[in-house]
Amino acid sequence: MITLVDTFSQAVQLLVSGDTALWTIIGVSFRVSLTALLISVVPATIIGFLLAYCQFPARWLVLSIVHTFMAVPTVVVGLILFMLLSRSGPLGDWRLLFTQDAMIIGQVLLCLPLLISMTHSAFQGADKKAWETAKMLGAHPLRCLWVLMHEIRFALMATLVAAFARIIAEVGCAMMVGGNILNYTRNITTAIALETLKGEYAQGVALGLVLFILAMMLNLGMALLRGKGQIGHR
Amino acid sequence: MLLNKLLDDHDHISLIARLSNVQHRWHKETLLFQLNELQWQKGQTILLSGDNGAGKSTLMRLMAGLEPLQQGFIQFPVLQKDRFSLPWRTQKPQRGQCCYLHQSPYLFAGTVLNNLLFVIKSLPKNKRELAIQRLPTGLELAGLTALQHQPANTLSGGERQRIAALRAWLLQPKVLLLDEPTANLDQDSIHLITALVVDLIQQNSAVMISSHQHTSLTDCCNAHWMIKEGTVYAANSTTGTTKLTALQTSNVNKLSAVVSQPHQMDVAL
Repeated sequence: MITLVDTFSQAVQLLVSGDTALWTIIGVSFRVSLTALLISVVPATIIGFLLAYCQFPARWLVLSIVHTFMAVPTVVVGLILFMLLSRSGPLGDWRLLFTQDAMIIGQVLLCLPLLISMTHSAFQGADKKAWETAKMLGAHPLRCLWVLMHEIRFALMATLVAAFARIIAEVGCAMMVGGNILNYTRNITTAIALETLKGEYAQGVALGLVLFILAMMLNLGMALLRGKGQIGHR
Repeated sequence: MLLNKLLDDHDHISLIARLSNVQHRWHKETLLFQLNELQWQKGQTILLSGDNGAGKSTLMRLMAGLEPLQQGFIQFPVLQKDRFSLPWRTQKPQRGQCCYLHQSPYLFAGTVLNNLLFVIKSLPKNKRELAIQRLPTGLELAGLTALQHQPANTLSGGERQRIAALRAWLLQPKVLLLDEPTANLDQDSIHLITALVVDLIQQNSAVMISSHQHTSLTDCCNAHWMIKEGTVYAANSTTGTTKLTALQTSNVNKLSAVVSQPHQMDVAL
């Protein structure tokens, strides 16, 4: 019987030996998730800022909708996107189902509400005087926004980390719209699910280790950055 | 008709601001203050007084465009190209021309010099060179020369207020609204801020100061607006004029002394 220790040692060997299949899966995960994050970050920041700083009648309703979308399970997002992108669906002509582009769209839909909600909270908690002072001193609105973002930089970085963690670790949407195709749409989480079903635990554990190391690196990086950002005299 | 138009024209030329039928309510219910008609004439330096919570800061913020106007309009003929222009909210002044200074100023991350360079970088390109030349004089005038490389978040309340005043001095806005700039400051800091403000007045900036205390800074004022029992009105006051003239004379002497000393500063924008 294969022990847990044996599985771990095989997993480490797979990682260290540079196993092509394993690293292709890791590459797909990072490519898809980083692309989705890059696409989402600018619109989410602008929307978060507008929700925090602009007064309009249905603001609370928009915020409630955003918060609701944060709680939607990934598999439900995958299901809706599957129906939209399938041949018989309204976007079937785009022929995106079971492609990396479909996975990117799914992950954009997953991380946008989280990014909007967290950036909105960060902007809401910022010292409004930063924006007002820059404005009063004649700065261009974009420069005022930059000043405000600098004020809340740690909260914004935490937002990015949280959003990245949500999409790289999701399995439901990637499985449904990606299709888990080897060397194309198979990413870390869908591969772990498949390998576990096949009884090939070593590769699953190796991929799990990658996610664990990634999470640790992101958190250590955040902690190091925050170390310099102690509360000063204001 | 033509005579009326000419008279209106003349009125607008001599006006810094005109506030008409302004009302402000907390949460659009409880009345904070109201005014029927107030005019800020050119040459006036206004002292705005009123009890705590009377709405002095709110009035200044409304004038600066930092709060939405609930009723009435505020015109700044001095800031607008079209003197017979539209209500304030539909025609905003050019950036940096109407400057409101918070009671507790916000300083940007970095050194004192970084904070001052922020203003210079915001100026139109043709004015930056002159501002850089004025920078050493301003630092001297505000008593900040020795502190220019110090992180801004390590400074005391008085020093922070002086940096805020110096930023406005570098900006040279047409309208400057100072919200209790000398609250809790020592006499030295008050005198240094007064020197900067008087210099701005000499350069034709229109200044409004809200204050509870009688200080050398409030001596600059030659007009008085009061907020009392929910009404803003102009109280007749010309007592400050003589004092202002004396302050201006002493300031000219002080500035001449500062400018006559050679200054060199390497500033990279």
